[in-house]
Amino acid sequence: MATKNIPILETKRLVLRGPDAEDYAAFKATFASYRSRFMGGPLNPYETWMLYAAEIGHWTIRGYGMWMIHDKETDETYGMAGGWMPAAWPEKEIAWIIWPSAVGHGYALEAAHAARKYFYNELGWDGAVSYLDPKNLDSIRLAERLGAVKDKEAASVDGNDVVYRHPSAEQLANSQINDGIEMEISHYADPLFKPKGYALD
Amino acid sequence: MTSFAIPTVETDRLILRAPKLSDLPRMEAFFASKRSAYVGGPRDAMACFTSLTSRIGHWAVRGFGLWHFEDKTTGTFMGWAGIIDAPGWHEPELGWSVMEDGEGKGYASEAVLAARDYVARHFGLGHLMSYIAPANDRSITMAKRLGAEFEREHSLMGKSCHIYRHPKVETV
Repeated sequence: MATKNIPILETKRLVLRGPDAEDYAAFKATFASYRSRFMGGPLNPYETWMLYAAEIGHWTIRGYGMWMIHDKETDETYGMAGGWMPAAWPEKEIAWIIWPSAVGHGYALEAAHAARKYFYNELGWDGAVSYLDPKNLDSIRLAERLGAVKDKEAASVDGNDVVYRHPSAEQLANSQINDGIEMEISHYADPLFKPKGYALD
Repeated sequence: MTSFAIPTVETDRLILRAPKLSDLPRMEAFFASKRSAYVGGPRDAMACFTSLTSRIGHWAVRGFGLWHFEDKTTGTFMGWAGIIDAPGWHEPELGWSVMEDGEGKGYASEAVLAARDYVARHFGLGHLMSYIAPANDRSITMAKRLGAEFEREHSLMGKSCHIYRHPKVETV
């Protein structure tokens, strides 16, 4: 008997839960769209369904994976964020995807920050990377807002991606980076301080 | 809380259980070989990892799926059997594959019979069909031996295939 219980994380505005069958529709729409071009998409219906099932199985196989990001109040889904390490990945990755309709609210920042904290504090990860398409400027910008720095020495997945190295657990603990991230998230939560002027996830 | 369970089924010589990470090297060898030609192969390491994890997720999404089966005495992963029901499938399919070193021993038949019986009793899937590539003589022979009969021609993901209908399994 193999059973997998996926932990639930709560942040200021969000609740992160394991992907469920009923959350599939928005994932399917996103992976059928141009939005998915940096995540191996667009995919056909079979490939999309198998990828979604793989997101769930990843938790069982690795003990961590991608959470579904929900609005704490409405339960609406905004995207996914978490840990990802398929066969060809040199290191554990922190990854995210936001549905096209939910960009620009800092949800990916808030979810990825919570996921990283969980991996560092609960699972004992020392560090993590994000493998990004060099043309995916929104995600590069997000990696930078998370304090990640381009690592030119690190092995990439297949040479077509750039590696951003996240601050280690030690570097992040009680750091200015951490305070800055939390301040930015709090500004999103308070629309008066909403950052303007650049592409955001 | 996302939770689901993959049951374990025991036969005379086999254990049908959840796919696990240590199955990956033999999956990769299978999907790199010609044996995989009739079941969606060849697949590279990345695609094999996606297959492995998606087989587990299939159980979570549908409530049933494929088991990986191993030799009870050696613990060696020998193949898979169970249900596939993905976009493109017109109804749930009873599918299987066996590794080269497990062929000719009746392992696949043993696993498929156990799976067919289990899904009928537990999931109400009592009258299943299998998609088989027209040139896959060994699978056709095995399906007939298990009592399945040719029903009609069909196509799956743009490839022609034959539908073999298994005998109805009494569930009471």
